[in-house]
Amino acid sequence: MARLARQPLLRSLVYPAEHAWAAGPTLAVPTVRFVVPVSVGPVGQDKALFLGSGALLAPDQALSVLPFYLSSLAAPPQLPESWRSRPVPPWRGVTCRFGTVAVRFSNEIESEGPTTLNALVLIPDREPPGPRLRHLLLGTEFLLHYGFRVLISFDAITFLDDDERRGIDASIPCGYLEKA
Amino acid sequence: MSEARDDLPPGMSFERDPKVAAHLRKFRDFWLWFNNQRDLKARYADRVVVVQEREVIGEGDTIEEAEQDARRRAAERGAELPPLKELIVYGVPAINWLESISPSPHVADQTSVPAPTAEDSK
Repeated sequence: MARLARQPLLRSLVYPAEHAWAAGPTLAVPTVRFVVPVSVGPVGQDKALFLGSGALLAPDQALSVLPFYLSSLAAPPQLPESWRSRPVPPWRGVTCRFGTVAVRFSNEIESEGPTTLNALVLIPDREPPGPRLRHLLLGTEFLLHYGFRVLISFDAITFLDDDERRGIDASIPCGYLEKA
Repeated sequence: MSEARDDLPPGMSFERDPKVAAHLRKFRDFWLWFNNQRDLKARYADRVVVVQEREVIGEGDTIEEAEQDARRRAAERGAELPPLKELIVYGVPAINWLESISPSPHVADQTSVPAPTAEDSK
């Protein structure tokens, strides 16, 4: 389908997620991280089971990381020659291997459908100590590889303000991820 | 039914199957609802859950455990578990919010704090 000039190929909404940051018993403040709802499945298998997951934008991570519980969805990647003899970086103290998974994004561009992007990921050999990773982490390699534009508006982050529920309203988008 | 095109980078394709779009929409609707359900998020923190119509019908530490639990519960009800592709399988993040937040160190009206002048540094 032909697309209009300057119309992006993909635009997915980004949602805020509250993450605690505590520097001690008397200093605890929330921080905000940014998540895109996606589904994750095996590469090149359209009919396979794809599982819903939050994909956390993690530009502070060099490489993307697949949660251990999704590791059965990954296939071995084709790595460039220069990477084949290198040790695979660990993550949170856990040894890893490389893999690829297909990540499906909802697409706000009406003329296009949901978009699948293959992602190179680190796959931990076991659950790391501490809280388990349940989000897919999209690291700098992924964001740079596809040349994403990420727009975040802190002004759009909405806080719940009632007695029953407090914190960030995680159902209101605060930006978007876009591929031109 | 994936469509790879010449104007797309390698590894990127569009999905033309309406079922794919419907499944993503279904997951997103669930995810947006679930994210504001603190009681459910706390109850199932760090677990993998199988969900049908906003009801958790199975849970475990892994996908397989959650599926087995959902199958067992369905059998107890005398029902059959629908294929996982028609359900939502979701890894619930650990609790990561604060019940008691320190007050912000930010002064409400920063303009009332005068900027340092050359006199101040003498």
